[in-house]
Amino acid sequence: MSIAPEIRYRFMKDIGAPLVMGMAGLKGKRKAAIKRDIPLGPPLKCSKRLKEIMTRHYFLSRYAEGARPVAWVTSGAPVELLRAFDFYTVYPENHGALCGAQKLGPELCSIAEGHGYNQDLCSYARIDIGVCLSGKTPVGRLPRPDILFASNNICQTVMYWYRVLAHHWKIPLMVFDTPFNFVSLDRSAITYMVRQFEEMIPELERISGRKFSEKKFKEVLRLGKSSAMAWGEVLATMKTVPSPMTIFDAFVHLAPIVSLRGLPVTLEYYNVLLSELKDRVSKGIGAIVNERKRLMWDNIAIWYKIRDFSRLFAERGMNFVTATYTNAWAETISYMDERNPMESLAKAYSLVILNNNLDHRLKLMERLIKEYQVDGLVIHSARSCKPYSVGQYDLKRLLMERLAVPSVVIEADITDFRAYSEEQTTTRLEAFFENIEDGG
Amino acid sequence: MSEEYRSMWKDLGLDLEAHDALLAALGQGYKDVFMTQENRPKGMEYFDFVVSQVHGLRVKELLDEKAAGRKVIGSFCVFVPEEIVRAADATLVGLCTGADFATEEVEKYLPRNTCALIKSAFGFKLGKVCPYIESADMIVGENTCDGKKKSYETLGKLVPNLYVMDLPQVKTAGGRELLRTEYLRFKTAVEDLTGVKIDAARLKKGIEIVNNKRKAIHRLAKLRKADPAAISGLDALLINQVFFYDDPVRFTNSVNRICDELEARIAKSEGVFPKGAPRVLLSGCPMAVPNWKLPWIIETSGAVIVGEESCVGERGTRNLTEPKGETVDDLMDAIVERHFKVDCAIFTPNPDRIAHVKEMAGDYKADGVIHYSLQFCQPYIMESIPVEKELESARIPTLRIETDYGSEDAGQLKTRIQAFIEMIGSK
Repeated sequence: MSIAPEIRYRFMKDIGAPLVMGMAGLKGKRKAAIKRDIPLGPPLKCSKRLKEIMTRHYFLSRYAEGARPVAWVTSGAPVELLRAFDFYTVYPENHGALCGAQKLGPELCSIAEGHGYNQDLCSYARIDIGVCLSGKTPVGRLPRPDILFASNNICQTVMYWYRVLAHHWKIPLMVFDTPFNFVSLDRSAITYMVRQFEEMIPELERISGRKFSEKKFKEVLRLGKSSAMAWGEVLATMKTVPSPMTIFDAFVHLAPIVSLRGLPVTLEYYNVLLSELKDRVSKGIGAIVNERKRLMWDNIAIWYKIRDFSRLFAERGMNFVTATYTNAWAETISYMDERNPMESLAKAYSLVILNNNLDHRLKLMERLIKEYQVDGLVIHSARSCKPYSVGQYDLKRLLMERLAVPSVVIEADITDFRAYSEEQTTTRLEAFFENIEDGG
Repeated sequence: MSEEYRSMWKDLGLDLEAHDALLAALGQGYKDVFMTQENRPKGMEYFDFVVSQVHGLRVKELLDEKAAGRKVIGSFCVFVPEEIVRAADATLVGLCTGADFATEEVEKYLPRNTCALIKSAFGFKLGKVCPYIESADMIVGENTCDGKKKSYETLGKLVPNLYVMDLPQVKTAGGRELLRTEYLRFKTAVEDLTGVKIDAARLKKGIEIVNNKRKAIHRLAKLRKADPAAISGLDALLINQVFFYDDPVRFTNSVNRICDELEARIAKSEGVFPKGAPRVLLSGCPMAVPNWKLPWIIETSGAVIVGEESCVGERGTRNLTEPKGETVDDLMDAIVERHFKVDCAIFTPNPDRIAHVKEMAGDYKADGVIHYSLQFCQPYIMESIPVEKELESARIPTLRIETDYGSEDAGQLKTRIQAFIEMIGSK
C-alpha cells in the first residue's frame, strides 16, 4: 500500500471526520427541533451521537481505499475474523436500509433492473448492484473493496449477489457456508465451519498484508460480545411499561451493532444509550405519550415507512416494544468465547434466527411475547426476504393457538415501495386495530 | 380409469373429485402437447402409456411393493442418491411439482412470492391429489434453496415422515466431507426405515441399476446431436421426466429400445423436424410433469430443442457413479464424488455450470440458448445473467425467460420466442 492514501486517511480520521460529525449533529438538531411529533415522547438525545458515528463511518470509508484493506460484508458474516486483520468494513445491507429510509429504493433498484436483474430479486441486492453499476449513493461514495465476505446464514441470495460484485470488480469472494440447523447443531457441521475459518486465515493474511494476531482476534471477540450484550440490555429496557423506546428507534439504533461490531465505538455507544434509557425508565418517560397496547414486529423493517408507522401506531396508543429482527444481534453473539474462539464463532453465527429452525423461532417469539407483555403481533411478509417470510403463516397460527395473540400479516418490501400497497396495508391494519381493541 | 384405481386413490386419502379434475386436465394437456406432434418415434408409445398410468398402474405397483414389505421414498431433488435407496430394495420417486394446484390454500401457508415449484408441492399435498406423496414411507427434503429450506419446516407439519438432508453450498474439501456425512446419515435413515443393512454388494447393485438408467439417457442425449433431429425436445424431456417415476430396469430397457429406433432413423436421415431447423438448448430450472409450456411454445414455433441443461436433464443425469472399491466406504465415496459434481446454482462459486452450458451448446450444435427461470427462483434468476453474459461473449445468442406454471403469459412468450428463433434461424 502506498503512503499517500494512508496519510490522507489519517488526516481525515483525525481532522476531517470530526468536522463532518459536528455538522451532521447540527443538522440533526435543526431537524429534531422542527419535527416534533405529538403522540411521540421526547426524542432520544443519543440520536445525535448515532448520526455522528454513522456519518463518520461512511465519510471515512471513502478514504479507506488504499489506506486499509477494505471488505464488503453481509450482515451475518463473522466479521470478527476480518477485524483481526484491520479491515475497513462496509455493509451493503446497512447501506441498502439507509437508501430505503431515504426512499431511494426504486431509483437504485431500477438501475440494476435496467441491466437485467429481475424485480422479484431482493431489493437490497438490486440497490447494491445499482450502486455498483452507477456509483450513485446518498453517502457520497463507497470504497472499492479488496475482498467480499458473505455468509449464507442469513439467506442464500447474498451468495449470488456477492458473486455479481466479485465478477464486477474481479476480486475474491470469501464464503462462510453455515449448515442449516434443523434440529440441533451437530459435530460435523461445527467441524465444517471451523475448517472454513482455518482456511480463511492465510487468504486474509495474503489480501490484507497483515499477519493474523490471535491476541487481537480475542480482543475483537471480547468487544463484539460485550457490545452484543449491551445491545441486549438496551432492548431489555423495553420490557418496562411504558417502554422508553419504540422498535422504530431500535431499527435505527441497530446500525452500530450491524456495521461496527467488534469495534470500541459500538460498545461505548450502547453504554451511553443504555444509561439514557435507564434514566427514562427511572423517570417513567415513555417513547409514546399514551402507551395502551404493546406490540411485536416480525421481519426486517419497512425502511421507507418507519416514520409513518411510528406515528400511525403511536396515535392509537400502540407501541412496538420488541422485534425478532432487532433481537437477532443480541441473541447468539453471546455464544462467543475467547477461550474457544473458532468453535464459539461458528456457533454464534450458525445459530442465528434465519439459520435456525421454526420451532426455535416459535419459542423465541413466545418468550418475547411473555417477557415484553405483548398484546399483538405485526408480521411483515417481505417480498425481498424468503428465509424470514416463509413459515410466518405457521407462526401466526401457532401463536394464536398457544398464546391467543392476535396478529396481522402485511405484505410489503424492505426498500422497494413499488411493492407496497397503502390501501391494502391500511385495510389490514384497520381490521387488526379493531381486533386488538376488542381484546383479540 | 378403472374402479380398482378409484378405490386405491380413496384408500390413499385423495380428494377424488379434485383428482378427477386434475387427471382430466393432464390428459387433455398431454393430448394437445404430445399427441399433435407428427412422425413421433414408435418407442414413445411406451412413455405415452407411462404418463397415462402415472397415477394408476405405477401407483398400484408401488403399493404392491409396499405390500411385499418394500418401502417407497419420495424426493424433490437429484441430490438424493437413488443408489442408496435401491441398495435397500426401496423405490425412489419424484414427487409432483409441475403444476399449480389449490393455490389459494397454499397461500395460507407460504408467501405469494414463493416459486411455483414449491407452491406446487404444497398444492398437491393440500389439495390431496398426489398419490405419490401419500404412498411415500419417507419424504426427503434437501437444503438447496432458501425457499425449500424454510418451507420444509412447514411441510414437515403436513406430512408424518419428512427427512431433511443438508447440502454444502461450496465445493471445497470441507464441502465434500459435509456431503459425505449427510449421505452416511441418509444411508442409516434408509436402513432404519427398510430394516435392510446396506452392505457393499447391495450398494454395488444399487449403483449398477442407477448407472444403467443414466447410461441409457446418455445414449439418448448423444442421438440428439443429429440433424435432422430424430426425436423432438418435448419427447426427450418427457423421457427425462419419466426417469423420476418409472421402474428403473423397465425404464432403462425402454430408453434403449427407443435409442435403437432413433439410430435407424438417423441412418436414414429421417427426422421430426426438417434438416437445418433452428436448434435450441434449454438451460435453467427443472421442468417436472406437466410443465411443458415453454418447450411446447419453442417447438411449435419451428425450433427443435436439442438438450436440457437442467436437473430434469443433463445436469441431473450426467456422470456415472464409478463403482470403484469393494467396501461400503469406498462405494459411498464414489456416490459422494458423483453427486458433488452436480453443478446446481446453489454452489458459490459455480463456474462449472457456465462451462457446461457452453460445452452443451457446442456439442449439440445449438444455434441459441434459452435460459429458463421460474419466477421467484433467486438462484437461477440471479445466475441467468452471468450465464447470458458468458454465452454472448462466446457469440451464442441467449434469451432469458422468467415464467411460472400459468398460461397467462403464453402469448407474450410465444412472441418473444418466435423473434428469437427467427434471429437464430437467419444466422
